[in-house]
Amino acid sequence: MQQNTTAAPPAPTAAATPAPPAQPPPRRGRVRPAGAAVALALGAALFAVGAVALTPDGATTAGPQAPAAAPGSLGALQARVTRLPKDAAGWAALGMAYVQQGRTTADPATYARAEQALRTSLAVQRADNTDAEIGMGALAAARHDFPTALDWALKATAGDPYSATAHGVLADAYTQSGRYDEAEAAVQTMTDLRPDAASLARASYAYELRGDTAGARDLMRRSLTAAATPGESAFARTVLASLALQDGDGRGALAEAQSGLRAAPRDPALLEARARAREALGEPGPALADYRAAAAVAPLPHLLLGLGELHQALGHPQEAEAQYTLLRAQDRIRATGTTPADTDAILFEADHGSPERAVTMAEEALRTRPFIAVQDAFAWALHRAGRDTEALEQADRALSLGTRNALYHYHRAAIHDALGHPRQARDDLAAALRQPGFHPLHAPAARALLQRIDTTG
Amino acid sequence: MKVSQAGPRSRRVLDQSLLVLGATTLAAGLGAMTLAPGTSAASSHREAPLIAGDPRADNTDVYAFTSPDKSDTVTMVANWIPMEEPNGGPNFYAFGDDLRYNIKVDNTGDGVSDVTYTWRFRSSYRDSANQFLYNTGPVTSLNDPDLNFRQVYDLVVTTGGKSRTILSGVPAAPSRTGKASMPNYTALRNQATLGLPGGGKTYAGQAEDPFFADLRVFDLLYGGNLSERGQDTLAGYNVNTIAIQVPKKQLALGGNTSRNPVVGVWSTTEREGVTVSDSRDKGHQREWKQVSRLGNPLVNEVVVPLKYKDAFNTLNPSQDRTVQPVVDKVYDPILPKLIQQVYGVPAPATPRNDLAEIYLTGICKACGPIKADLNAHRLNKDANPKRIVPAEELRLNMAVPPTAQPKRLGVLAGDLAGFPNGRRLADDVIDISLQAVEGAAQTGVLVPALADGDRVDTNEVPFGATFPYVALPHTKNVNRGPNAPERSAEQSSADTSPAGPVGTSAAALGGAGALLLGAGAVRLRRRAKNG
Repeated sequence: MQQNTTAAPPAPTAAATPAPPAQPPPRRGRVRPAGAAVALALGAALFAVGAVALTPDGATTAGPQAPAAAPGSLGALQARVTRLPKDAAGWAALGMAYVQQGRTTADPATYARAEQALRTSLAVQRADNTDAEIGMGALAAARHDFPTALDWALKATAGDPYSATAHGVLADAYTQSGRYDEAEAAVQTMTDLRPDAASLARASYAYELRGDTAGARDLMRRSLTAAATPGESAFARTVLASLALQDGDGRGALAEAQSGLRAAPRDPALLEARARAREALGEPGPALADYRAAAAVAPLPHLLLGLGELHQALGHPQEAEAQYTLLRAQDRIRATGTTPADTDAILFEADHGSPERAVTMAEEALRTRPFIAVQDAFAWALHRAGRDTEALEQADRALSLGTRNALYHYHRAAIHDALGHPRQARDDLAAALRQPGFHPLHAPAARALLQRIDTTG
Repeated sequence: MKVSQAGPRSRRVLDQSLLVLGATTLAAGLGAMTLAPGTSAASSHREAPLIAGDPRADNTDVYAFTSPDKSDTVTMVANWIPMEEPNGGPNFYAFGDDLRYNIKVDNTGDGVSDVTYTWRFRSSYRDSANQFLYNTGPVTSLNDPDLNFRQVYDLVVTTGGKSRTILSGVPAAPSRTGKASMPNYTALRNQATLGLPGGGKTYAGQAEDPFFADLRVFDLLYGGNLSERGQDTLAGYNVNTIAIQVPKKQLALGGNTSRNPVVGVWSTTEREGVTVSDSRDKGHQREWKQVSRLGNPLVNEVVVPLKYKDAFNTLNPSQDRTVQPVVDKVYDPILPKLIQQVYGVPAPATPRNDLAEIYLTGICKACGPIKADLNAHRLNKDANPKRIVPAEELRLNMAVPPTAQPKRLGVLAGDLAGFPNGRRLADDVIDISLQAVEGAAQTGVLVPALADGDRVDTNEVPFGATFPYVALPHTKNVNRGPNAPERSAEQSSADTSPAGPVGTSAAALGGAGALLLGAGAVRLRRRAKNG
């Protein structure tokens, strides 16, 4: 009998050499310097390596002296692949954990680590590797490459029709591709297989997209009850706050955001949710503080835009301009790659830059992502560029599902007004203003427009 | 490794833009460049969590055994919420209010539950203004005003399609928040141990995780070897336990334990489903969906590949035979092949009818190669043989009396009151499963190369002598940071005790035939086999 206790399994040869386990990235909710540090590190990496081919930094976690990592944590997963480099499922789980982490921080270095781990998993086991396929799909979706996400999701659901997670990736990809019926079918399959926090959240979103906020709220409450991690709870609270706002319930939104922040005080999405609730309640000062805190944790475009426009509304042009400068810089970096612009960038360009350029950005985005949010941004860019007939067509599409979105309604109202449709404009304004303070600049504009229509009509 | 599509040209542009930006954005003090090509996060894309942890729904283990101190009853123990770190505040570990916890019993062999016990929990805070506090001072009783978070439950029994609520609004024991705040957890446990109408009792609350194993044994499945063993992976952790002890006649087919001593047991967790599209008839999909299921231990490690875990969790045992890849793997498991590759121990010939007996039908002479009438539903005289199907359940012959000196290797050591005839808390299911997968149940010979098993032979703390038998919850953190290595040392010294008389255990298999049990002779005999 042969005893084989010493031989270390050979490193997988294809694609990637397995990464040394990455340093555990900063935990959620680490204080302000995180964003800046990430930026600096990223800057250095970009200069050194070019693009985003980041090599994870040297490992320190898995040594024998290191304290035992909590089961299921990133540290534990890193230790596992160090011990079992031929464990395809272990690499896939590590990759997925990075994707989930990157989702909340939008740190491209985390996504690079995710991709490295997932590609290693696929190199170890090419065929029948559903976990890695799910991870690749989730990674593509996190990077907003939805056609690629859809390809991986179809592969994963074919390989394991019983995987609720695979159907979740599929649902997300269909939704962003504007294939809502197929998305609903995928969510139905996902919840039939496993009604848990993740699938209930997606079921809630299906209701929300149709404008059924009551149904969406019920399901998101159930998702919150099923949530097991602070991240899942924070997500559910954020959505519940947003649903309350859609119903014009600023107090309810504030309460949800507060409850969430008690458990996750530096969650940027919850800080933004509280900022929006406070805007709705007519408290711009505290709203500003929340936006600032959120943007300091993660300077994401929609946070910078919210902060900048609130500054502008409050008559702080310099502070507003500082945020806009950052947004322009972010978009310049984006434009050097192949990723289409997101809706925040398009709306920003339409309102604070060149509407013609915004139209081009939107057309490009729509090619791979015919989702209602992109159609709305396209409509607004067209309107700002004076192309209102085309704009109305897009605005109608953005609202075709019945989604209760104050901003979409305001956008369509302005388009109707420009086209000389006061009655339709009035209806859309009424719908938008059900959520008072829906936007620091557009909400006052909506009220002014409504008054003008009422006095002239 | 090449991650982005950006070629050299765009890289140059990027570098330039970074140089340009460096002056403005970094000086502005905000990390503008957190967003690089290929990434974005935006309010427009609802990025819901994808892999939701669901520990409150996760079955970890199921046990079923004749109560050692009350042999006219059977005790069933099912655990949820794996790897509970003691002192897991501030929320500690609650049963899910949105879940149904079930222990199911099949006495006909059709894979469908004939007796189902269902626990449903409700949480509340005594002082709702203090929702972040689990307890506000030392807790000495379940009614202590200092116990702020409370759970009560209803227990429903379903037989023959009819459900009866036999307990309503009764208390579960809380998570043990520490020695200072819950000095006498035994008292709390006693208060939460409740009698049942018609006999029996139940307990729901926290307990030490009774499972003991070095799960690294299964590294073989993931490209590793057996070089690292001897450390109880589960040591120091707690679980949430639901235990029930009932008179045997309540479980037996027709209430007749002498004619029908065999039952199949498994636990499940269910959560209510959803109707996603309102165009379909509403309520259609709101039925309860099974999200977790467990019968035999280590089923995913030993026979059902991890790939089918999702499928397995959704299935009722009656449906097992409809998922061919799962059934195929019971007859042709991967683990013995890996053991052959690494250790040169020849994998038993396939199809593995012996494993099918252990996992799918129960053991009986007519069922397959294991020459014993032990725990197959076919042994129930009133069971309709035409309706008996292969189904993965933990099968227990209730007629086997409890053993005075239980052997950790159970049936393989000639102790017929242990796994795979039901499962006792102290049964060493890893070592038993490893031997079984190597064919020991069929050959009657333990595989010497694997005699050490995982080198973890006992739980880190002793079990109780009375219901609910599980040990009290730990109060010290497992992951204590700097102290962790010290703890491992403690552990390995505790676990390097001799593995026990394995050789004699093997011999005992042949002698097991001497044990006569009630209705019929239950015998294990070495099967005549070539090679």
